[in-house]
Amino acid sequence: MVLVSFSGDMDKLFAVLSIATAAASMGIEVSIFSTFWGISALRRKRTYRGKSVLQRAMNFLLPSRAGRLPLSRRNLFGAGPVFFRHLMKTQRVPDVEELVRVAQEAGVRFIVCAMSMSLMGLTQEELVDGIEMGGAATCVNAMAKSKSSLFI
Amino acid sequence: MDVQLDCKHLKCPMPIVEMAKAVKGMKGGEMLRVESTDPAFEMDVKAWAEMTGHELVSFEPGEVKVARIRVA
Repeated sequence: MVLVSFSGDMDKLFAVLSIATAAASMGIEVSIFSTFWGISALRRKRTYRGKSVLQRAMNFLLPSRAGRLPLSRRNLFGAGPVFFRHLMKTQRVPDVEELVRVAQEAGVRFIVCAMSMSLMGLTQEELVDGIEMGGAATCVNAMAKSKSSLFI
Repeated sequence: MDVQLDCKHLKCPMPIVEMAKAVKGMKGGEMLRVESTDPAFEMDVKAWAEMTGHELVSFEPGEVKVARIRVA
């Protein structure tokens, strides 16, 4: 199974990570290709060192880590995700950071689009460990071999 | 050896994740007993068994659902 993780919205990333984790736990080989806004799910910190002014600006506008992701609807200027995270904590639903870790443990491969990384001025040290770098050809190759591919 | 797994209060997809982890350390023919409060557990455990080849021997519905699985 191949999941293209394009969206940087917390709710959509839940769908990506839940499906991936379930599939991996059911013995299916799963690769998640994170590109564009989706890379934010794998982010653990923000650094400005060694980046151009535009890359720094882009970086400033992106969530600094997975715990700061917005919602696709009812974001309410950032209040939505706060309510959401509170509900998740009380109902013991794992958050995005936790789900990424669980997915990795379950055997999900995370491949990040190298082109988006440089466009957005992101470096690998800003992402969680265990992430591979790839391009469109890597993605297409995996999709061609896979029974199901999703773009979320 | 039989293994007990307490997945009460774990939400989807965590019971399946825990079951996959538990099964990794078990041998063929051993029994896994899972307790869950997840409303999706019945459908999910059946789907999981079908995909992984492990046999769902019994399922008890209720507030705490109990699945017994024979490891393939």
